[in-house]
Amino acid sequence: MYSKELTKGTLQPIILALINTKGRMYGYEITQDVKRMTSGKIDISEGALYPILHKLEAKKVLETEKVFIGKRVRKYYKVTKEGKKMVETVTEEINDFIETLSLIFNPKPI
Amino acid sequence: MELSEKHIAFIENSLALYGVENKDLKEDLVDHICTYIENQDADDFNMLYQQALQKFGGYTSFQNLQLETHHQKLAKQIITVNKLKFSAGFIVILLLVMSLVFQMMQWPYANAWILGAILISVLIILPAHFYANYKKSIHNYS
Repeated sequence: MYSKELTKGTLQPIILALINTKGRMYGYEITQDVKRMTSGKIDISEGALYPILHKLEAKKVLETEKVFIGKRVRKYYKVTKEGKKMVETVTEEINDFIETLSLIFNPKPI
Repeated sequence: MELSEKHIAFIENSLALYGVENKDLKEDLVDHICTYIENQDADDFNMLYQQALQKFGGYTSFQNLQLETHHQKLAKQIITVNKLKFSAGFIVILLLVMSLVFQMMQWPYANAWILGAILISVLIILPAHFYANYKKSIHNYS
């Protein structure tokens, strides 16, 4: 599993990209999907997940849809129309970041 | 494990005891803990609930989450207050400039503009400033 220090800055883009791809997701589902897709290498802690989701909701990047599961409420998060632009920007930035990192960690022989 | 209404009520009450007051946050946490327990094969609710708490990082983590939510709410309020202070400050400057021009030109109502500027400062800018400081101090204390 990658260290928290390494994944910290990428959690928001990961969450955004995942919700955008799936359409709508709830908290537990996000943590499990990330774990499954990365074979357990990235484990989003609950303590980090909800502040990010609430922050993005306050910024109107995400919106929620409440569904009753028996007596309790399940909040599905989905990307707003305005949020789609942010997802694009963040995805481009992350891809660029990956390329930049590979310049340092996998330098081409001169 | 399948959860009953009593189990859900227990989780809600314990979260309230751990200081989770925000409704949105509480809904998220209750559903998260419930889903975690429902996905486990064991039938011991207390054990599974403790496991779920540990996964969150214990009681302190709940308090931190609540604090984070308060902080986000506070940041939003502070931005609104700052916008109000900026707008009111702009009007005060405008009124003072108008008053100066009116005095130089010896036009009537020059004093009225000064009075308006003082009133806006005392009734809007100062209360907004003290309100923001008060909110910040409560947050820092918590």
